[in-house]
Amino acid sequence: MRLILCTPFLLLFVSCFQLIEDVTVKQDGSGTAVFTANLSQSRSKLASIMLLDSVNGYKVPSKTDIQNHLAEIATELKKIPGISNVSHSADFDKFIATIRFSFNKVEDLNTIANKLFTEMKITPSNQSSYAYNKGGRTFSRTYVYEPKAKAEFEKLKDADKEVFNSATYTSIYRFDQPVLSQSNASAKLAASKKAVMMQSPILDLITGKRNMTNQIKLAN
Amino acid sequence: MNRFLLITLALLITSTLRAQDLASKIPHDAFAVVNIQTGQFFKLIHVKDFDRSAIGKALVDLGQKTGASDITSVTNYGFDLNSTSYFWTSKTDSITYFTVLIPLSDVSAFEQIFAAEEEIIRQGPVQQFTKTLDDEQVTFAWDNRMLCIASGSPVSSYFENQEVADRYGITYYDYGNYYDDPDTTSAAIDSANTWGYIDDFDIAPPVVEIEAAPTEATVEAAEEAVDSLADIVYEDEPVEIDSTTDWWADTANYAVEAASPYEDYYTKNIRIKDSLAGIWAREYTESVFNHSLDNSILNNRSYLRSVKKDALITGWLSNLEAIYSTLLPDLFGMRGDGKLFSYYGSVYAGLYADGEGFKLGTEMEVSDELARSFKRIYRPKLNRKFLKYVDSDRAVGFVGLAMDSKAYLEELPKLMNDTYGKIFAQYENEISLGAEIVSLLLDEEAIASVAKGDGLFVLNGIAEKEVTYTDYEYDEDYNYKEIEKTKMETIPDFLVMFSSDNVNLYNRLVSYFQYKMLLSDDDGIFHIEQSELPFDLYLYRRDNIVFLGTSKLEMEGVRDNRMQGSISKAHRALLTKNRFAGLMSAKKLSEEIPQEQLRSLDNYIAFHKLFGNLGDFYFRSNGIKGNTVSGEFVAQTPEGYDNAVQYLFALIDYAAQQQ
Repeated sequence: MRLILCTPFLLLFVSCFQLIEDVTVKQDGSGTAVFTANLSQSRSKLASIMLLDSVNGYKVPSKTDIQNHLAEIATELKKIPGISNVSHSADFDKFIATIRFSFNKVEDLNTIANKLFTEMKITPSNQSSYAYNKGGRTFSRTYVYEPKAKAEFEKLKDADKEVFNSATYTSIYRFDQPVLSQSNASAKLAASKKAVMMQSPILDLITGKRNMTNQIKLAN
Repeated sequence: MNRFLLITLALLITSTLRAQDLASKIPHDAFAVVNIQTGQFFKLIHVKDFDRSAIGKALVDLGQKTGASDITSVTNYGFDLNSTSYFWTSKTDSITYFTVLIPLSDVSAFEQIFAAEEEIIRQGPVQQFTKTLDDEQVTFAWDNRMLCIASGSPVSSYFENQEVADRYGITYYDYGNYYDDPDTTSAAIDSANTWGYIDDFDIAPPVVEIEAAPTEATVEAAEEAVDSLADIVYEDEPVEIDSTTDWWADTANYAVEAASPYEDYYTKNIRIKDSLAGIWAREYTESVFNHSLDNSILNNRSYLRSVKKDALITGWLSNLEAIYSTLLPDLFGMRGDGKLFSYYGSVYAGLYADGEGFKLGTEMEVSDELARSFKRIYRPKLNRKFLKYVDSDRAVGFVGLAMDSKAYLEELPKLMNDTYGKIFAQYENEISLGAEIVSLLLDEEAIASVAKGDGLFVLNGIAEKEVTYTDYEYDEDYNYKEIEKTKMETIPDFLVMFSSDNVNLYNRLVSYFQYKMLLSDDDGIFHIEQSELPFDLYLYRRDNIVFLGTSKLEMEGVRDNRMQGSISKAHRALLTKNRFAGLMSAKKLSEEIPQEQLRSLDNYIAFHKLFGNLGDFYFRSNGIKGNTVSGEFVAQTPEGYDNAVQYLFALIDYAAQQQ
């Protein structure tokens, strides 16, 4: 959900978007992560909006504003101990933004999440976290649904709620060893058994119809 | 129209007004007057129908809630709904009056509903009471014939004078001596006292003539007022602020402000001034009842021109300068010797409702100088060749403009210099120089040959277009790659045309942009290569017209001379008889909006109910005639309604039912 925070303004005007979280975890707990926000399905609308200075009282950020914002996020990520190889891209033709980086240990992802939330003055509405037990070879993704999230969502105007109607969230976790078991029935295992993917409408995550929590047990 | 006809017309209007007569109570120096012609309104909707409408019921309910249980119709309030009510504003050097005059048909009904619980003062045939509404003292005075409601707003600058301030017990705070004379002792004393409204002393209102000297009686009254104010101020023992109290600790910031001399003087002065305004407004209502015809607004020809028998409401403003000098005096003070205000004279507006629809007509008189400029600028008419490309059955809306770009470019620097040069006096030289340079740099003739100044925008609808977007394809190991997908989107389908004589310059520009890869040639039609545009845009030129449009098919039709647009008589007249005109068909627009955009059934029904039946909206301005610039906005009544008022009330009833 982090990339929602990167482009909050533009999300107000899209009718459909995709968020992809692609995390690769090595045996020692280090790895790489790629977060992608794909607003391409609303590119005509966004392109029109970006020709304007403001819409409905909101200032429309310029390309430079968005690029600077992404660059700031990348700079902040670089300062976090354990995070390296930070890079980012923003394609204003397709309206796709990506941030990728390497981490020393899985728990660094929690540090990033907390930092982003703190800097954006947002209290996370769920206790989402990542954990990796090197000895037990278990990767955990915890997502605790909070009714508060739904309550906040209900406060939105109908037009703003519609933004989330077709939005999807995709998580992919990749490992260098085969997966022995995983606890989330909605998640699918790759043919190679080394990747687990789950796709969900964002609305289902907000309303608690789906849970992303997954305990993934890996082979030694 | 010759002078004889003008005088005859003025006399006719005057005699109509004199018959109604309440206008004779409006002073000749009122600077803004609004006529509310309820008689015309109730010609368009029967009183019984009005009473049955949502608004009518609400008004009747309101009366019943105030205790008048026998009210069953708006006619029961005692107001004469067949005559005109007036609102006007007038100003002296010390106060701006806002006055409403309503004709009465049944004074006892009015008194029973509105005055039963008030403390009424009777002075001859006139009765009155004063109420505080939104912190303003408002006087209601009436006789058997009319109700006058008046309030006043004090003019701050009048009190910024030591002598005047002393006269009314106002503490004049000289900002120039802010640090020299801080009277903090009295400030602390003042802040500790509770102030009441000082409406219990008698001060003669300022004489209406500006800058008139105070009379002896006024001075005496003022002295009494000062004494009574002093009593209020010092009736309690002064209380010193104790910085150790809880109050101080809790509201430290507020207290600092409250204890500041400025805050104290400010609050006190405002209260005194508001009270004076209330007293003067009360006196003013008396003068309204005794007002003579000779000094009335009916002797003002400009006002008489604004009165239209068939309007629901008319508004008249003596001149634009009056708005600034009265309502925005600070801004007015900045004007220097600029001509921004002196360019404009009286402004009229009238709201009409008839079988065609609602019409808002406006007129403004401008100075000879500005009129000369406008006449040069708005001389040409729209290129009639444009009309060949308009299909009235298809067009959702259009906007046409006809002006002379050469004249515009020549007049603009001069107007800018005259208007702004003196307002920003410190930059006067720079503005003047800038205007000269702009004039020198621009080759007005050359620019006018590329864009003569007339143009037409036609919105032909909202087209569906296939657009691409990026999605992802996942393999069996969830590695993904970007793939291109398509979907249908709605985009505006429009055509813009403007006259352009200079083919050589057009060709050079096209060649340049082709070289820069911003244009691609497709058999004479140029596609604008700008990926940021949400729609395709094509460019073509023929018959000294440059076409810019979203539809390639249409552009090919232009190129191959296949366009057979059929413009209706009404649309043709609207575009060719005006210098600036536009139209929007709400009905066609509602048909064009894809049903997907109105997802819920409620939205769909409400949208089509409200807009599906709506007639066309159009506006037009024929530029300038004589020294008058005029414009009109019309919202046409849909079929099935006798007039616009009936349709408006049907819409309001529908909206009320949905709540």
